[in-house]
Amino acid sequence: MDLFSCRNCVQNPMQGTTFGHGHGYCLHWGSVIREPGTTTCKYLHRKDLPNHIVDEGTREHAAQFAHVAGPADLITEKQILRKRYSEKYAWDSHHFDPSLHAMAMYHRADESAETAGNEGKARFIQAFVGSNDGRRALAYASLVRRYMHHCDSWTSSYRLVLAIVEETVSEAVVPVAELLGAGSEEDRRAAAGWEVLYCRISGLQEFAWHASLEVLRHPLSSVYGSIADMDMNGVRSSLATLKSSWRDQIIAKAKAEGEYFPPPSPSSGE
Amino acid sequence: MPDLFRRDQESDVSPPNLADTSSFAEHIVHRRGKRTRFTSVSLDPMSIRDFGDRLWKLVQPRVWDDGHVQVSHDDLVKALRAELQSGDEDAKEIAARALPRAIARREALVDWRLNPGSSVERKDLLSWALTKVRQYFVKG
Repeated sequence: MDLFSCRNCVQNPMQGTTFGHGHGYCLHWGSVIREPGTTTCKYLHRKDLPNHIVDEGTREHAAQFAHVAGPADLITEKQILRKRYSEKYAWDSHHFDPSLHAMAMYHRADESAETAGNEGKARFIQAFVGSNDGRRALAYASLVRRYMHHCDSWTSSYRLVLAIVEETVSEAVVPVAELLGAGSEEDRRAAAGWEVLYCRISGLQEFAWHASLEVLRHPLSSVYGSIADMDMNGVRSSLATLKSSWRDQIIAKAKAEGEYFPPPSPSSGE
Repeated sequence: MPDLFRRDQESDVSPPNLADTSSFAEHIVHRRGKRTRFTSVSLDPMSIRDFGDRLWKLVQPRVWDDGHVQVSHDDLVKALRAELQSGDEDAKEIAARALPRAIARREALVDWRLNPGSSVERKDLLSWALTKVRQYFVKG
């Protein structure tokens, strides 16, 4: 059931099923999520697999929770009260969490998107790129996927996706204190590594779906042998050789469609 | 034979969906939904501690005696590895996600051979299956 929880939803970007203690933050409902492993809603967008591949399961889930107009308990299906984020309360109660704070600040930018414009949101998302912190890596891939889903197009997100391409093979490190589950630290780190990798790869696949870009439909096709051996280093080194080809084809697509760094509009400030 | 455990609701073990046609990998990642024809169990109760309030233990001899198929953890991992090597592209995608998950949770499966016959309507299959599988689990 954890795959249908807020932990596995791109709307709660900084936590996964294998790491991220404490409360989460749902960007869809603008709410602090107290028990991210046991809550859900009808808008679930899974991190671990691309939307179009798990469409059947998520549609069934959405139908199950269609009667709930808010975040809900995964088992009882009862609605959970939304809880607005308060930075003052977080400090006053000694519960300030930098990750949760970052997401709540993103949501405020999100709420003011009509005045900030999509470019403003995209800039905010880019602030998460370039970190080897697993939480920020998961957040970046999740935010891009959410953005792409909302835009329902590839043109507004191809630059964000190019950064996923650049980072796909980067190791994402999760502090031991943030790791969930049982087993050795090594096993739990490995599980977190797979989770970040698959969130990124699923982002590329969702982009491929929007852009009808064949090369990214199955980005793992050359590394199934390494995955069968659970050889993350082998996966990374093989994918590293494909990165330039993925990058070139995305840029070629953008150029062919006249979307490659088009002249700025008067309101964009560029 | 090592013990096999399941975490589930306090009152009951979730029934299988006998109408489902998921593969092992599709079941593990819940590609087609939450309920499939299989029931997941684990060699290690600690690795599934977040999956429900109640720990249940599978009564393995009864499973065998009644003709159901138990897929051991090793056999499950082997099957997922084989799918990664020889399945179609979509099957490989799913198996790639399923393998680390199955290993981390030390997962095994029960493939139920329940025959509802023609007297059970499709809409009643889940509740019928619930009454059947409960006997194969005791509180752990």
